[in-house]
Amino acid sequence: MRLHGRVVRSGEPVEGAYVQLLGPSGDFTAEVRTDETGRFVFYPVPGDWVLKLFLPGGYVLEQAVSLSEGQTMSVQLVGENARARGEPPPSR
Amino acid sequence: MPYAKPEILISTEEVAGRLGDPSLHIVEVDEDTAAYEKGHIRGAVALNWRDELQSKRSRDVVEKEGFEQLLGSRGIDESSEVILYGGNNNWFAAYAYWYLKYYGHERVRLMDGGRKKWELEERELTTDTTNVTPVAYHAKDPDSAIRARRDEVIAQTGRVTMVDVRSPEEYAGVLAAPAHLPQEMAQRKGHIPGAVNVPWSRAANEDGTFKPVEALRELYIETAGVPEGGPALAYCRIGERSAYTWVVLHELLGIRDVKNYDGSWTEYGSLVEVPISTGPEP
Repeated sequence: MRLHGRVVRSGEPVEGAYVQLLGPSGDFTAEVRTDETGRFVFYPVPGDWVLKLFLPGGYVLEQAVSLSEGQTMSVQLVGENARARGEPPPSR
Repeated sequence: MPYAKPEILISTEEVAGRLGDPSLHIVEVDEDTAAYEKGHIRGAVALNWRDELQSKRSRDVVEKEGFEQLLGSRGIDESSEVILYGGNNNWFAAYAYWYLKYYGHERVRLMDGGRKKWELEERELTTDTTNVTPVAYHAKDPDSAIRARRDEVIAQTGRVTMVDVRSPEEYAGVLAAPAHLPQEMAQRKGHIPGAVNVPWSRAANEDGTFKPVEALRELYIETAGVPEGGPALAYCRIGERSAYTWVVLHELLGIRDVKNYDGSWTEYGSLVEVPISTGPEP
């Protein structure tokens, strides 16, 4: 089971963004750094997860994802939607 | 209340202020062994946990002579001030920290928050080659007091507090590895009977720095029941995440008798005729 995705800002891939995979209880499960094409990949079990994106300069974006059995999911995290710390979180 | 050994941590700000200091030996140790080549802190050298920190003769740490050659080749001697940093909340940097302590290195520190904090603070990374002059390194004999072995773990199951620092899914036996790694594994899934599950990452703030000592005390001593003086041991899948927890328990909380079981689940879960527990309970 794969959950892969890409981080883009102004249409361009973002290398060096950090993406965390948080479990249902909010527990940090894994964290990866995006490669030069802005890509990241996780191998979680089915269930509800949250992807948390960190961009340089203190910008954060959260996105909930739901994975079902046997599914490979692709997500795109868009840097423009990331909020600076202290601002209200984006709606999921 | 301060950490038991606050001097083992150095902030990104202080490292940035000391760049170019020839007495400082900055070492990157990353899970992603290609990360260093793509950009590193100016003046840093790299240690590859996969190729250089594992013995080629058997599944083991490198022998003393190999460790001496490795550190010496990076321009580090036994009196050097070594600053370690890496990704994933310093996961593999903490493994290197434990490793250096195993061979008796005194002056080793972790850059609090690791590579992520450095990068998210938009500090400089470079691809410039770091030139070093090899030196002679004289290691101490291995400190077996901080390393747990298989037979000891089996004999002490149920008697010594064991902290399984993997994710709840790995602990319960649902996943065989962290969720960012492929899951093909030969061994059984689950945990050592009686082990408590405190995922390693709970000791970290969101920016990758260690939580304050009060929060760490509550997490490990008050909630998980780790005795203040030990004995205790930490394990994970291959001994790296548990090295991170070893740093927390031994160095930040000052629990004297703590071991890292670096054989961890890939060893224990492959043993014949040892008990295994599954599910969320110890």
